[in-house]
Amino acid sequence: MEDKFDNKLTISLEDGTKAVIEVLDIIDSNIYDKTFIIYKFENDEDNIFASILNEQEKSYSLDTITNQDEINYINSEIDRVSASE
Amino acid sequence: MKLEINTFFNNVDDYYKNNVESLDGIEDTGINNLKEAIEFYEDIQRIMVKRIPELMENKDNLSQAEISEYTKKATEVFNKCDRYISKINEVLEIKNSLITKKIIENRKNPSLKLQSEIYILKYGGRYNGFRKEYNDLKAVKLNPNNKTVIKKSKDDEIDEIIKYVKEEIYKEAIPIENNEIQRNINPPKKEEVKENKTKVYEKPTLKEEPKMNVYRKPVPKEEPIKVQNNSVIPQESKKEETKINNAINEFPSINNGSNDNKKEEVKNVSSESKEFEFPATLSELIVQGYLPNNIDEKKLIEVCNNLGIKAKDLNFKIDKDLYSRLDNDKVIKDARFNLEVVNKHKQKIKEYDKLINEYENMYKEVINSGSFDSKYIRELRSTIQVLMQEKAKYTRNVDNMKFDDVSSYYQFNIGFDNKAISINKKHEKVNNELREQYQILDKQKIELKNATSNKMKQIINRRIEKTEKTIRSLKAKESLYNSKQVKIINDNSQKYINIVKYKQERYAYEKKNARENVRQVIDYNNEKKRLNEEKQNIYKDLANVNDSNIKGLVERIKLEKEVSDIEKAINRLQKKEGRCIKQAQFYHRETKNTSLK
Repeated sequence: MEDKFDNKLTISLEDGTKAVIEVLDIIDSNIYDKTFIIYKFENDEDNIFASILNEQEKSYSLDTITNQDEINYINSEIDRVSASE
Repeated sequence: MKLEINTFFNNVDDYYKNNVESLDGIEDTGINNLKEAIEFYEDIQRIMVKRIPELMENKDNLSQAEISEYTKKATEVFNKCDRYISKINEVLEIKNSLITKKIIENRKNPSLKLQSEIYILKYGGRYNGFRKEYNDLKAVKLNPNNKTVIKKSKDDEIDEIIKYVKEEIYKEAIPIENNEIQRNINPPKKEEVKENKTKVYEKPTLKEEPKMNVYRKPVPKEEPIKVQNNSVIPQESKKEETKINNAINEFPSINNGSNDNKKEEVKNVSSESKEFEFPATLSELIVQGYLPNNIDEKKLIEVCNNLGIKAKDLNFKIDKDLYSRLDNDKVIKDARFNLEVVNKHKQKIKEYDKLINEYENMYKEVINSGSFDSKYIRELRSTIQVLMQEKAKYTRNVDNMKFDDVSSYYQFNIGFDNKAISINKKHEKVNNELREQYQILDKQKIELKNATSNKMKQIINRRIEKTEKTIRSLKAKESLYNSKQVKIINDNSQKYINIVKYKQERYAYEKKNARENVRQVIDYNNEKKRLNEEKQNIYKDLANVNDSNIKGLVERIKLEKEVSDIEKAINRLQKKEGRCIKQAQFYHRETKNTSLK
């Protein structure tokens, strides 16, 4: 039997509080050798965020994107997918 | 059909005599045998009800006299069956009423047994002479030692006996209790005893599709043309517009994938015609000259069906590729060719008409002028007659020419030449080879479509599986999050979200359906095996049926109908099975690994 699958993750912030995010998509880029994660918070429906996903054995971290080329890459992916259909 | 009706017509009465009515009458037969007889006659009535409209359709090409005969026979058979059924029902009512009384009597008062026996013997028993009318009683006398003796008696004694019986019975009348009576009067019907051969297959209840936000491309808004008030368009621009329009109207419209030479002769394209846009219906193509006018609808539809175009009317739409197939078909080329020939004939006929009018005018002037030169007049008359004869040839050709008959041309110009016939046969061979290749191409197109669509879906499904795997792995881990993160400000972000949601929901829906579809396929296969086994059993029964009797005929007709119903059910199951296999084809990997049983 299948377990119902949710795209939601609980994240612990710097303050110690926890928040729930809804994962929209995970993109693997061979150019930059990184995985990008696109998500939004549960309460905010208007804002969308992107960050780098560093997955390790027992933990993972969502890091900020500093390079402008990577941001343009994500925007180009979004435009490509939205225009293809 | 004739033999069936004749056998029923000749043997209905004999069945009644041999199986229902014994030497001593109907009343001797048991209740179960009478009910079988009723069902048998009802089956015959159902068969006759079917055969009468089949006779009216006249598929066997019978004469009207034969049709009237057999319809009369069929109606007579139907009416006879009604009469026999009514007779048997009368007897059954009485027997059922007697059984109630017998139960009442035997239950409480054993002494009433004898009295009940008397009553039964009178109205439903075995004794001599009681055949047709129940009122013709020939009574029975009791023996004091509880023995019954059958004797003949007079009518006076009968009345006394009846009074005695009635008084004794209705003295101790007991109210009816429903359970006992219904058990004995209404034995279990055959319909209830029979097993339900046709099982109703219950569909598994699938949830409805989740409502998905359909993403559509935004249509660019056309900015309206802004016109300044008090603006005067100069006249020079008007002249240019008129020049351009005139230049366009002079040239014919653009013809896509066709020969221009033939069309100019067939029909002059109107000046108001725009650039032709595919897909278009067949009727539009004919009106605008892309297909010839002289073809019948049925013939055109046959040609389309031979080329892989599934058209039933002229309102069927066609693409460029399909139009090119039609254009290169021999039938349409011949039709176009004949149109040219007809048009040329008509041109000649017009010329002849002109000449004839001129000569006739000359003839009239000569007569009206008064100068009576007989030679000149005779020559005029002869020329007019010659012209009329030659004109008649052309009109005859136009009337007799068929749209796809190219041999007329060869006869007309070249003569009855074997070479022309051999050329025509070669064209036919090439045409038939092309049609076969189109069928192969259509199949390959469908296979390619399915292959590409399957690949694309598999690629999308793999991507979704990856994301789900990573998310599941992340749920079990601890997280670190920096408060400053990048916010996306892309106009297409909402569209992107909707697309991703749609694909994920669709993936989950199809995954569920795949498993359930595979289970349904197994159920369908099991049911098909069962139906095939039943069919083989029916074939064995059919081999043992004897057609010489009416009973055998009725059984044969019933069994053949069951076979046809089973075959229809099997075809329906095969279609459903195919649909389930298609829906489940994207998840072959999962079906191999999972155990559904």
